[in-house]
Amino acid sequence: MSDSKMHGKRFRTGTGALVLVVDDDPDLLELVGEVLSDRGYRVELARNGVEALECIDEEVPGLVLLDMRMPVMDGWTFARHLRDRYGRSIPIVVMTAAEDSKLRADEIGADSDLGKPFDLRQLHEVVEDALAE
Amino acid sequence: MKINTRLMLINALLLLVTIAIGSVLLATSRRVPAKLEQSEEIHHIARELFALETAVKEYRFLRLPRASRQWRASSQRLGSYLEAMNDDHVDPTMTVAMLEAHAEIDSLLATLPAGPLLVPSRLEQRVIEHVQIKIQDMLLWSQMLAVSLHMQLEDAHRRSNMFVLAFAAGVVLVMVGMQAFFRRTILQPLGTLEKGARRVGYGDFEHPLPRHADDEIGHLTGVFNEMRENLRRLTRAREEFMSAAIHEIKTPVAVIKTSVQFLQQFPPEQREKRLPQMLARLDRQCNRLDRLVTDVLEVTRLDMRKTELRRRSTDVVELVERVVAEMQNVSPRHRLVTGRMDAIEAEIDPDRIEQVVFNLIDNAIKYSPSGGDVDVSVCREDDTFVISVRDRGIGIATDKQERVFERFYRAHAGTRYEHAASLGVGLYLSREIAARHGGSMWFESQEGEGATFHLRLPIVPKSTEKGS
Repeated sequence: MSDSKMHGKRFRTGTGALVLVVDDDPDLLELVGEVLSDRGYRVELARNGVEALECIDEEVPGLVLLDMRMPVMDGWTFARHLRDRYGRSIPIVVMTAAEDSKLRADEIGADSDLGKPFDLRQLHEVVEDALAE
Repeated sequence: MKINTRLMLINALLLLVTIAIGSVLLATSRRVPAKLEQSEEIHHIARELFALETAVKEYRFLRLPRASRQWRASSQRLGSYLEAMNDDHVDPTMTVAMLEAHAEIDSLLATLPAGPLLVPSRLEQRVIEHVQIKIQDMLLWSQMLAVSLHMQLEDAHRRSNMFVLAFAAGVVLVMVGMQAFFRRTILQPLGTLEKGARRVGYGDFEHPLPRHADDEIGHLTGVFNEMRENLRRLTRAREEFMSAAIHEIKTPVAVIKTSVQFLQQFPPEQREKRLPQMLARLDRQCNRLDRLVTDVLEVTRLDMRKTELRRRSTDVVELVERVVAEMQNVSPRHRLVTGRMDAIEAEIDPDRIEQVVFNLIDNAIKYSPSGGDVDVSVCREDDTFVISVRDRGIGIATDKQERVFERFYRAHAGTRYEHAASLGVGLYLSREIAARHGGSMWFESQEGEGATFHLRLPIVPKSTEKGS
């Protein structure tokens, strides 16, 4: 939170695959970043679709964790842009309320979903599975 | 046309029909006694004619001395009956003919000698024969008159029967018409309304009712449709609000759960360095959760008018500065700047007013996505004070300004500025809280140039609402 810009904030200590996390809540972003980087992933954080697309322009991630309702550019628009540019080569995991995370995942053709409120184990499992495919 | 007007028209029509048929019936029934009287007169005439004939016969064949007295008396009575008939205008031509015949008989009889004749002369014979023929004629005429009167009476009778039937038929027609009228213009539309009301009762707000006419029921249908539309909007807004609230609550829960589990992974000595950041994060998310739940609760409570103010003497500047300090670091792109801060000690519910100030600053940050200064000030104005929050953000479109304070309304919904964390109740709750304090809220804004929201509250509550 001390950074003037969330976009581009990275957890690059690891050597694993690059995971792009997109969510408008700074606390959730940082936490997921910290947790995943602790597991050895490299992580990039974005607060909305526009920031996320900028990140992808710099380096194509191995996986995108995507919240749906965000200001400036929401998850639906971002997913469309991503699919237009990279096809289905980058797997997407939808992060939204558990009640309709499946539905949202189907809507945008995501690979899997992580229903909120998730816990540590679910987070690790979903990321591992998505990257393994 | 209004139902009332139509009913009045029907009544007027019914009245007209009744008056017309009634007056015809009255006229017909009035003529019957006159005819009966005339028929009685003719009966008398016939009787006198017979008497006259008898007298003449007695004079001619039996030569009775009383015969001439009798015919004089009969002829006199006959004359008065004929006069009466003439006065009643029974059948003018016939009456005139009979009067003339009677006069002739009278003059002929006058030529005969009063006393009994032993042998009547030829002339006398001829006179008597002539008189007899005239009497026969008159008898025939009176019979014809009687028949004609009888026919007229029959006719009147038939006509009055017809009018009674026509009246009955008219009444039946009007009744059938009324029935059809009530069914078409009242019962059917009422049935449609009933079905519509039942549908709304079951929670189906989607189908507007057709407005069949521009009358009272049409008006009621209009009002009903308006109510249905309002219910539909409110229900949808409430559903969206609940769904958004639940979504919003999930994020802090996820953060709290994952943070705690993440910390638990590490042995205590490794946990230490992560603790300050993690605890700050947990604290923020707990506050957020608290505010969300409070918002949901407040909306429900305000619906039920349950909010009670806990007023106490409060340093307004301190309150505002506390919120500003708390929110200073929420967004790295925004700077919260306090301007004029008049020292004020006011009788307010500090928790509620803090909530309002928080909402205003939160909105200012949310809707100025490119960052910038947010100015906060407190100004004393007579016995009130005004807290103002100004941002340099996207502003509010003119066509949406009117609805900004509406419950569940999100002015930026559907635009790229739609904010995930917005439940659409912040400003609604804020204004309700202001109103409970006897204060008010308003704003100035131009699209693209930011907005300034003001909250005005009385320093000391008015005595009227102190007790409430």
